[in-house]
Amino acid sequence: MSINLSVQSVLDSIESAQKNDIVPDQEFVLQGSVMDLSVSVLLSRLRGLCDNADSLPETFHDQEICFILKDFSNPGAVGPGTGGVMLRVRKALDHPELPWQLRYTGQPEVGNRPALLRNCLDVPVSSNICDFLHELGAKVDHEYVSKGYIMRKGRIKVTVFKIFKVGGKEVQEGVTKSHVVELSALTTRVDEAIATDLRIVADQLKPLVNLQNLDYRRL
Amino acid sequence: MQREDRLLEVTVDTVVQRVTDLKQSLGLLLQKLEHEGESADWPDYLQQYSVISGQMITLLKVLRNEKTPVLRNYLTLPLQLNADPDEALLRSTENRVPAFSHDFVPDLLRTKPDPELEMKFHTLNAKMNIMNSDTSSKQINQHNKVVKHIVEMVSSARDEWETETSRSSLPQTCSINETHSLLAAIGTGKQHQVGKAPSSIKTNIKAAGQMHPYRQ
Amino acid sequence: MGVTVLQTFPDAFRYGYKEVEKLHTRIAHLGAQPNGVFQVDCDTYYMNQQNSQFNDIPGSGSTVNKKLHILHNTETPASTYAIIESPGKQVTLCADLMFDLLLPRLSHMYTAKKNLKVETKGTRFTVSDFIVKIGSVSMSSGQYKGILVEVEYLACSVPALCWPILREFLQSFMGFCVSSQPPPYLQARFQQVQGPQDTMQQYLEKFNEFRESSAYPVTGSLSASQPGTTSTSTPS
Repeated sequence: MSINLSVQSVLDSIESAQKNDIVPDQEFVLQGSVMDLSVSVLLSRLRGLCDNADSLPETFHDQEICFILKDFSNPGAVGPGTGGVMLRVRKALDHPELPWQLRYTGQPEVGNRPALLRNCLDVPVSSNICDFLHELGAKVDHEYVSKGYIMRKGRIKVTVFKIFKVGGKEVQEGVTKSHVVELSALTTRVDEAIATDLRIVADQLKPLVNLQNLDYRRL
Repeated sequence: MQREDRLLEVTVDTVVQRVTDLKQSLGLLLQKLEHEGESADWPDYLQQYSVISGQMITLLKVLRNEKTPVLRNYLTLPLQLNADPDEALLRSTENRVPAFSHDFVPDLLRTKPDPELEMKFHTLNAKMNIMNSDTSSKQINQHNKVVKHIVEMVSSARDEWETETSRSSLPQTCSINETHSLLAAIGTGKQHQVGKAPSSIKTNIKAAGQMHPYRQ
Repeated sequence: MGVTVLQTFPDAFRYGYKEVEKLHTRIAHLGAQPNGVFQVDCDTYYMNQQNSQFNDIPGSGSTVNKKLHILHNTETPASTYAIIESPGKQVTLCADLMFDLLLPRLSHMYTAKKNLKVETKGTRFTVSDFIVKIGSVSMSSGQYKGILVEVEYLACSVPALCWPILREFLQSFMGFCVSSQPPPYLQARFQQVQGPQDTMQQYLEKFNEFRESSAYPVTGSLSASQPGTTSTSTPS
């Protein structure tokens, strides 16, 4: 996505150009799922593979709200990418004192890579972010609660979690009796070596979980 | 030439290093098993397992590296054939290999094939010289046909066998459909599977005029 | 985080640096020690017209004129503040500095007009429980706008509990341009705990005042100036 230089002031664009080389704004992701019955097996295997094998995996309980910022100046636009910018707001339900997180994820990059590559930016914000986005003109698209475990292996973040509807009930009761498994790693624009590491970890989880590059927009 | 030699040396050194590390970790694990037996600490084992798997991966990485010369193409030649114990060899192998002799490496030092094989080789050679070129080409074609047929039979049998066993013996631990529906739920808020009856709980908040629950 | 008060120091003849020097000497007499420099900057963007309720019927929906301000303060160097100002409502967001990198992604929501960036920079002084920042305000074109003084009283976070000492301190080196009444912003939140967002909202008010002031000098008025009116009274 090209930066519209006429919009930013000159100082800002210089700053961002400087930041872009060292700010990790690219993310490699591999996603899959595992049935609920096999989650404990997966967790013990992951405990063996990841750092800190001697302590129990850390749990998290977050609520995520997705906002869409539509492009009002061009309401008749059709086609991919014109649905608007999607911004995700995440708050920790088990640690309400922590700042909320605002996350922007871009379109997956085209190309044959061992893992899905996409632009991503994580910004900690104050808790009035929802109000702010509402004033900005964003609308809530969907929201859900995710609860699960998070582990780390070097730079790779491994999460195993279950999706719930806000209010406590599981999404698609009866259809989904699975946990989502996600491997992700943040990197800078020029470093793609981490993707092979991701693939190696993913292969070590076979045949329990089959992790792939899945673009959810195509589903 | 010199560059290749150096490269080979470096590669061999690296491989030896990695193998020694791996050997050490395996040794540690074996020790642990012997000493602790049933009362061992499971997370400890898991850690050991991860260390060993990491070392195997680095070893494979070294071997697969683009810069490594193709080791298969190199021959090893014995410089000295002596049955006496060799001091240097004893030291470098921790007293396990006294001499580079036929007892330890029978295949590497072989200069002639087995006597039976040699006989077979001679008879085949003789047969080949007598045979006509036409009959031989006909026999080759037939041979190829038969082999192809067998390969087809084996692969179809394997496919059947795989689908059978994957259903029964190995419990299914993940489902592609569930992956898709979960990722669609996270990414786009799609709550419904295609074909599934729509549930009464819809959480997609739509109308802009509606009071948003997060507004203070 | 204490209570922060912003005060425009009158510079009727636009002496700029000379007035700043005058303030520096006065502060030095009070025992203030210079402690670094500071800068507060503000960039303003106009939000694109949104037919927020009636997307399909142009012109019949409510068109709101909103502005988006992005501010930075060297006192909180890891943060970016984003304030959306619409008539009757202001939402202040405090975010990580990375928020600046997110702005190009939202570029379709706003347009930038030229020469709207305002900043104040100067020296930072500490004198016991007070932090005094004497800054000269200028536009991105370099045009000098005036002098803005920020005083923060660190020992207390509620204006109601410390307004008298703040006023006395302000008057001691700035004289009678300081009103005995607290500024309207603080008056409205007199009993509430103040935080960095309150400081930035006050800066925004002051920057808006400076921006709207034309070639005529601004006298030390505490109330926000009406757009279009300029004060032409010169000090006696």
